[in-house]
Amino acid sequence: MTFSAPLVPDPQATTPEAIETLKMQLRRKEGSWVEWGKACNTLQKTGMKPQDIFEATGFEPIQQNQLIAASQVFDSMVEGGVSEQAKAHYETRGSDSLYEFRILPKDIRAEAADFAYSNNLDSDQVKDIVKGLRDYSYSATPPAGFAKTMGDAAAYHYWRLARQQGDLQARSRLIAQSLRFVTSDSARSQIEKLLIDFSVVKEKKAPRLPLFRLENEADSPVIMPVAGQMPLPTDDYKTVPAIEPTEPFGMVKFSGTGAWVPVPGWQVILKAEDPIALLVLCRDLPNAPDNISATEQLMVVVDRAKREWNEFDYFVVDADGQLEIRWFDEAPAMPLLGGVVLIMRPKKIFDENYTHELWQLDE
Amino acid sequence: MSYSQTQAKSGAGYSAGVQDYRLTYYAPDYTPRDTDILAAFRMTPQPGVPPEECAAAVAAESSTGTWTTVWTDLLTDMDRYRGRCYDIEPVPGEDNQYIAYVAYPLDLFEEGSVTNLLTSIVGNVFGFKALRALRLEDLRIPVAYLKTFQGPPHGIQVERDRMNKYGRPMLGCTIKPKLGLSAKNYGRAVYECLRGGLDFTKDDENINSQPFQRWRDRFLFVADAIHKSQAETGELKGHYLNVTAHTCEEMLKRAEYAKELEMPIIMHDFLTAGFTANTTLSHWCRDNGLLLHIHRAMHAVLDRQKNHGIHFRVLAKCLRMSGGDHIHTGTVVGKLEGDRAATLGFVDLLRENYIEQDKSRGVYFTQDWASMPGVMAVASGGIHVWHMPALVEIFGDDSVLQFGGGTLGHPWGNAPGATANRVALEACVQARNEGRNLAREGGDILREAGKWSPELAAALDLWKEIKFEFDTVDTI
Repeated sequence: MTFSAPLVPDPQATTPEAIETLKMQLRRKEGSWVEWGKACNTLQKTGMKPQDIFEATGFEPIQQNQLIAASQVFDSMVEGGVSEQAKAHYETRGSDSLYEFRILPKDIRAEAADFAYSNNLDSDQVKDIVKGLRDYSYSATPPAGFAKTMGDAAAYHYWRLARQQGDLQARSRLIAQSLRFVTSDSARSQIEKLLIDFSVVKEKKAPRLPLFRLENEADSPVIMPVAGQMPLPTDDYKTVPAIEPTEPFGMVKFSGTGAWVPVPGWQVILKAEDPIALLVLCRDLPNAPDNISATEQLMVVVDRAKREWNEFDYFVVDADGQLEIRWFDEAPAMPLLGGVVLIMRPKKIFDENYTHELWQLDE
Repeated sequence: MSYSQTQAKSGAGYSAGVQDYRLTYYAPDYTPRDTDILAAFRMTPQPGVPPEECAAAVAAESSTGTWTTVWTDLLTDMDRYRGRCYDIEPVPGEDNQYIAYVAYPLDLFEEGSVTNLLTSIVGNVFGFKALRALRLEDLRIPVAYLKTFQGPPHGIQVERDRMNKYGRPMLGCTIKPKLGLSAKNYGRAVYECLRGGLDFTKDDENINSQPFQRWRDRFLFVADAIHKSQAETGELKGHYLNVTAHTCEEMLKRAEYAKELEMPIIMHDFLTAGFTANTTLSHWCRDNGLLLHIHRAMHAVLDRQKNHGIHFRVLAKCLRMSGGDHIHTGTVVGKLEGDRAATLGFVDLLRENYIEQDKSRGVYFTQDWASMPGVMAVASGGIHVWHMPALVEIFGDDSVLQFGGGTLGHPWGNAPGATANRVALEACVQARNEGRNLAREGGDILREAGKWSPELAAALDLWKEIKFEFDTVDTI
């Protein structure tokens, strides 16, 4: 490894005598834990491995780590102006609690230490709230009703959890924790509001309305007029009225006679300006594929507004008063009555029971 | 104008059978017992199918129900064994989705068997046709059931003691290219990364025993690399030797060989191999003193869709019960930014002993792990030195940060790549402990460290600085 300063151990940084003194101090457990942490840190920086320090002093590597990190927290909280009482308290005990504060930014460590001291929190309790305190400190403005104090930050942590908890016992415990820490009156009243919910008697609920939000266009079928079964007189095709669906549900108003068919709201259908459907046997189509039975019933969707020739589409034209579907390799002289948008084949059902069984399962 | 002139239809839809389900399996007055296993399902019913009917069907099919009434129902106390849907709530922000809460009596499940637990709870329910989609979001495992599982072979604290590494995340790297290297070249890359300062290197999930690199050869060369790098650095090192195999016997044979070579850790693909194999291996690891790293290959097949499948937090909980000392969790930074809250929710579920219900993080139930050892979260994939402050801030100490391309892609080679990451990590941890704000000052901390480490400076030049903010995008 080729670590570079300041992370690289520097054996020259401390004299051998000083190292021996530190080791002895640790072996005899002289001084406070803060000094032990600093001593461990100094020894590690000279290149001593945690295992060697353990063998020389009896401080296990995991303890060394806790003391080193906690002593750094201690220094920063003193620098941040922690109260004399809290400082005196943590100087002699509580390295495990201060270790948990290592994830807090420097500017709130002093306040957090005062808070933990004044509430007599042990390290488990500190661990429970420390992430909440950190997240609270990151928000520029505190949540509505809460003040920018440590007490309110801890109270908010429990209030947020209590709000989501349906179990009364767990909820009461969380509310009690929240009330224990809260400092501002407005936050206290917010928390107390949760208590009122206890009095709500569970009533028998009416069933839910069968609401369903349409999720995509394909959920809504398009209602389309059917001109008829081919062969079909051209006049019948032309007299089918254009439809005007009304949003948001695509309702179609209609009077008179006629046949209608629902078609899925696919993109290609929605794009058609004046769509109508024709029923046709496969044999009546040009270039019908061999793998479809000649007598299979198909439905052709035609856009009557699509009358401009191109070589990639099939078109509906008039042939001696009868309707025909054709492809042209160049623009025809005869008028085009509409372009074919889609030819639909009926649904193929492999398993006839599929539509009747509720479950698809393996036993 | 009236639109009501329609012809009445009869017998359509899911009426008869489903209504039976609702009568038996929907119990809104039921208060779950401490010993019940609780499940939260995200349901998307077919249009017009009441959520109560769907939820009842889910409770039924995952417990005592079947598609028709059977006369043998009369031979047992169905009331004792049936699952019950005890609550349904709409999913905020989603129009057609509901969370159905189901309570299962403990007697429905075999002790110590994740396989049985999942077969019951998600075995057949996804085939109910009245549902458009169904996703198992969370499970509450009662202490009574948890105590029948061994859990992770060793857990976080024992791993730290064995590897003698404290107070910082571990560093790892997956050797690339994932397939095609000879065992000898592979061992060389492992040695370079470990010598450079990483704690672990890793087999990729699909390295098993292919023709270009048989498992025994790989194990031998990797063992050489580990012993050599340990001797040079004075630190304990490990490589996740993938023992996943086609049979449990073969898997255990490979694990035995890793033990013979005095390797500290092996690896397993828990989803493709299955929970039975994983639990077998986890028990073996506890008995033989090897750590177990878990890869989650195939998880996206199950957990990627937001409305269908199984959420990863359930798979993570199952893994903690089945056994594993590490598991991949995603990186949160970068591509998975939007899922930060949810990811940190299940990272807590992996590591902590007691986690309060917090639906904003996807934790649907308070979970008490009853002192079961924790699992290290592994952040891996698409990360480099500039991500280090964010990763340290988000994942904390009990994690493994794996830089694959972020190590092997260093312009000076593997060992300098590893050194760059180690320096960046130690600088970030030191700065955090001193009270510096990694979120705001992360870039400065890295640049300062780069002045002392040419390897880190080269890495910082190569990859682009990224910024991370704390405004989470809640997608739950």
